[in-house]
Amino acid sequence: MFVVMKVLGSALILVSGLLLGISCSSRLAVKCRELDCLDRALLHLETEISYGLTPLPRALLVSGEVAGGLVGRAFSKASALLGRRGGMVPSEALKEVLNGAGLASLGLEAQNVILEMAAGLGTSGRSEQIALIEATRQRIRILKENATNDATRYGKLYRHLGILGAAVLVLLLV
Amino acid sequence: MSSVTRGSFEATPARAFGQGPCETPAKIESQVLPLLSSGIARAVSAWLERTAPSRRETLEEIRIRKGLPLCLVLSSGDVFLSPAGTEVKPEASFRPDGGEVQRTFALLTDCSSYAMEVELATGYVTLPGGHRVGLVGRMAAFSSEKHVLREVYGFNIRIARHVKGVSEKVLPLILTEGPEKKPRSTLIVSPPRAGKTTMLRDLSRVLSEGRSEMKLHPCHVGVVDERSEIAACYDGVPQHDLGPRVDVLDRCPKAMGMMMVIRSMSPDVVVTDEIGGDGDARACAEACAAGVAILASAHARDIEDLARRPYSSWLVDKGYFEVFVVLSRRNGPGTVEYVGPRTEGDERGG
Repeated sequence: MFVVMKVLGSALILVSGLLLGISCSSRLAVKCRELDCLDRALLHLETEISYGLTPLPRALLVSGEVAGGLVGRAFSKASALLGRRGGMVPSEALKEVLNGAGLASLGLEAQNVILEMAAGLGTSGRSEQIALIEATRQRIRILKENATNDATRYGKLYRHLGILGAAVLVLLLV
Repeated sequence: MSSVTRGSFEATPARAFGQGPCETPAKIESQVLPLLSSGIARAVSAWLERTAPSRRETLEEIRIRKGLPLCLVLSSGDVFLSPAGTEVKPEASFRPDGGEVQRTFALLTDCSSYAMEVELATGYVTLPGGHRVGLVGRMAAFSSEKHVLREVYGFNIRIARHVKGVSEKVLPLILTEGPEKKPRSTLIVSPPRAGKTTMLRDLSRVLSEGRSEMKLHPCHVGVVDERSEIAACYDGVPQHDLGPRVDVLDRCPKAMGMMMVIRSMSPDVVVTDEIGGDGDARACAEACAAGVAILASAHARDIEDLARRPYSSWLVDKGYFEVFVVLSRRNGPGTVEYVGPRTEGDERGG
């Protein structure tokens, strides 16, 4: 009975360690995915503004739908709060959705980049808006590159560390 | 030119011709206040609440200037508002700061000033409901021709009103005689803010609907709305009721648009606002010669004043317009001073 319990306990510790490792590693992958969605959303926003001269609330909604993911949902939510319909300016609307949409996976840096862009969104002419979004995309691309490197470098490491840590713990306990 | 019965009625404000009170306060509450920053909206909303209906319906403009008193223009004069919406002297009034002005600008442009570059270059934008917002600020020049409003410091929100029925007394006098009535080419003349556009709008509606009791068949009306003021199209839909047979060429220069609408839509009547230069006058003459009745307006105190202007003198002298309607603010906006043809040595009131 004691042996069975020991085996079961060890198995539980191993599984927990493995899951912990996978969770840490997937957080890095989610960050990459969301930054990718953000980049796609910004690219579409740029197109809507430069070619369609689409009003910002509609442009954000369409970009959000195209991009998908949590970022896409956040863009769609922000569009409803914006301008003549929702009475908010872009910085307020995006701040509100960033706080509430569970976008912590994006990382603080990316959130600040979005908020900095939001402060100038819709306030100037077409060419300035394109320049603003392009500059934001460049910063997001750098963040995405770093996140991809982190995911490649640390993703496997976290998974291995999880299972190895658990194995060490099992050995110590047994 | 066949004769037209000359208007002999007493000078009466246009509202007296109307069909009951207009819905100005409700329109402001629902269409304008949500687009103002909270401080300004609070003051205007409180003023609307505590002011008698007869007085608040005379609200014509809301003037917002950065660092200067918040001002409401009523037909009886200007009032300045405190933050609580009470009428105070200018020195005690609410002064919107830069933040309030920027926020108002963002809301008025739906956070999309890039989509309104053309409108901003002309100095105004049109809101849902047809209200027109004039803008002032710092212009930036990109070339000798391209100027862009870079920073906005002030707004003049002109409250649109469609007072149905203002043209009822004028209408019979602008129609031809005979068994089947048709509109004649008519020029509405008045100084600014005397109700030219309101009259033009109501005449368009009535002509578009037709009047069986007057034997006036419904007309197809082509509106060349260079400043988006007659129909106030928002998202392609006229915000004012111009009747069921109206085609609007929105934001198109008059000189180009009048012949364009004649060729493309074959209207019975072409309506346009504020003839303001030689090109506009020539386009009117060309359209009149094309056999279409023109309904237009021009800034002037009276017909003689109009005839003194270089661009319009020949238009008046050569009789392109058969009927002139002179409006003033003598008894309030839309006071009809005269309806009839131009005659030599004519002495008109005003």
